[in-house]
Amino acid sequence: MPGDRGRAPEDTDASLPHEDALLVVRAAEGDDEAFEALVHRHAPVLLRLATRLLGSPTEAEDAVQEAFVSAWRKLPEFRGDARFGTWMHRIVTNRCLNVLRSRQPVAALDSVAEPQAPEHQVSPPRAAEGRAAVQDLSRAIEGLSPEQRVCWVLRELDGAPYESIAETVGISPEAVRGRVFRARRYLTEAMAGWR
Amino acid sequence: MTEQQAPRALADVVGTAVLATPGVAFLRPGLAELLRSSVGLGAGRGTSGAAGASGVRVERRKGAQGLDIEVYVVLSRGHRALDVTRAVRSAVVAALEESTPGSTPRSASARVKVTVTGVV
Amino acid sequence: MAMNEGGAPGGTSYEDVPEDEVLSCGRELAQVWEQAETGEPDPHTAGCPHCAEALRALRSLEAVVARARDDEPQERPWDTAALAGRVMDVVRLELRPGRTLPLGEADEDAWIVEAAAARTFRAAVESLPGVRAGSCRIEADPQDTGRPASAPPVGWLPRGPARVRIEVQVGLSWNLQLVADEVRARIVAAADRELGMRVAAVDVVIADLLDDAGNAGNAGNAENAENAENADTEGRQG
Repeated sequence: MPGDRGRAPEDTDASLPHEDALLVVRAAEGDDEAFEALVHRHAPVLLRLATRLLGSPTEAEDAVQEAFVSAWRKLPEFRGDARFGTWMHRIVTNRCLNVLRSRQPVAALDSVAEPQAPEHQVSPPRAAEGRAAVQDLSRAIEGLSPEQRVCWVLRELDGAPYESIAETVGISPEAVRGRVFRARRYLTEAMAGWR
Repeated sequence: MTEQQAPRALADVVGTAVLATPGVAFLRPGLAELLRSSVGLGAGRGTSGAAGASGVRVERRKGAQGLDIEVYVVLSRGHRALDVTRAVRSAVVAALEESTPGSTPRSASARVKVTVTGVV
Repeated sequence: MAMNEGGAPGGTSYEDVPEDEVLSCGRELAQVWEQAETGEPDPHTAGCPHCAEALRALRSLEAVVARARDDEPQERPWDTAALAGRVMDVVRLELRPGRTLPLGEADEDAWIVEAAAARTFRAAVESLPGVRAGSCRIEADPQDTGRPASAPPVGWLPRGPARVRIEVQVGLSWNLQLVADEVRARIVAAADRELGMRVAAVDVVIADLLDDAGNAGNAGNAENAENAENADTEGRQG
């Protein structure tokens, strides 16, 4: 089992929530310098999240940039009932979900088909084998539905609990479990050649 | 044509004078638009603040001699805001005098409103 | 493998994956995996070859996922500065300057936006050791009666003295009354020396108490804030 399961996303946010709260109040009152400080504090974590969700650093940067702009607009209504990091995590996730939905026709299955790896069964060096498996995994991920992909990435790569994913995506924990299961089922099939 | 060009040229004169005032960091056009709209000045009422003098608006006062001038500035830290706004007003008045030597000084009937929109 | 057909990627899609897939032993695959995830012991699964096969598939996937996560660089070469620059370019076109406040005397035509004045006041307050400033709002002083007859435009305060309300977080070592007085004095001084703004009153709200490391307290905060607010005195100038 991956070791960092069960932690809420905000716990992996190294920034001091207390300092965030102060900056959020100032930014909500129109202090753009305070907002800039928030951008610097949270951008690295959010870029990593978006890259995991989208698989593309360039698209991730665009998504995070748009998420911050949207956060600036919504900040006066942000009442601090959630931490800023958690709030941004949610905005970025939903933006990435929309990006994935809009690119759906492009990532047709035939372009990423046959992720099995029979040619690797001649036992290449272990490191290279691991790299190739990771590459196959990223190709296989392209075959997931946007909803499955988001739930699966938040669960497996971000280590988020089902309940917090449910809150982020706005569906029930049961629905999250279903999506993660389907994603795992699909990926185990796609990666069958590596067993 | 001259009716429209004249305020634009004046806006350039005003903008140059404002930027040369110690304590002024720059003019902030975006915010100027925002504040104007909150004052209720319609967008169609003169576009004199264009071309190099954004953050400055010059309008002829309706039905009377004189100019209404609005200046929106961002200040450099370390300057007392009120003192800079006073210096800006003096600089604008002086620049208007200089720009029209011989004729009736337009500065005499110019109203100059100075708004600090930021400190950097 | 022991799983049923139907989910193979070649030619089929994720939509074909059934959620109630049943293994040859009669167990539901979803249930077997979920038990494995929660670590719940199950006497059947322990001895069942079909369940074992299903679990092997899951573990194998997890091994690749772990590897993928390890392969992620700890510190991506993110150009955070460039990203922040692009964000702030947009933000500065959509500023929220707040109200416009008068500078100087009643007959002048000099103004400053609330956001800029608030930033000046926060900085002045934070020159006190162990004091952090949060919300800072500036309004017209309701007790000022010498107003000009004409009402100012929306968003612009009348040309009278202002009233400042500031929330601060202070170190535990501060005497609350003393720190409120100090905060008030800094704001009055900054209003005069840095801005040239007439301030009639400063309301200081102690919103939080900070420990030595600068962390806010937890339980009891609200109560402290209440007490501090009650202890708040109102300083009127001239």
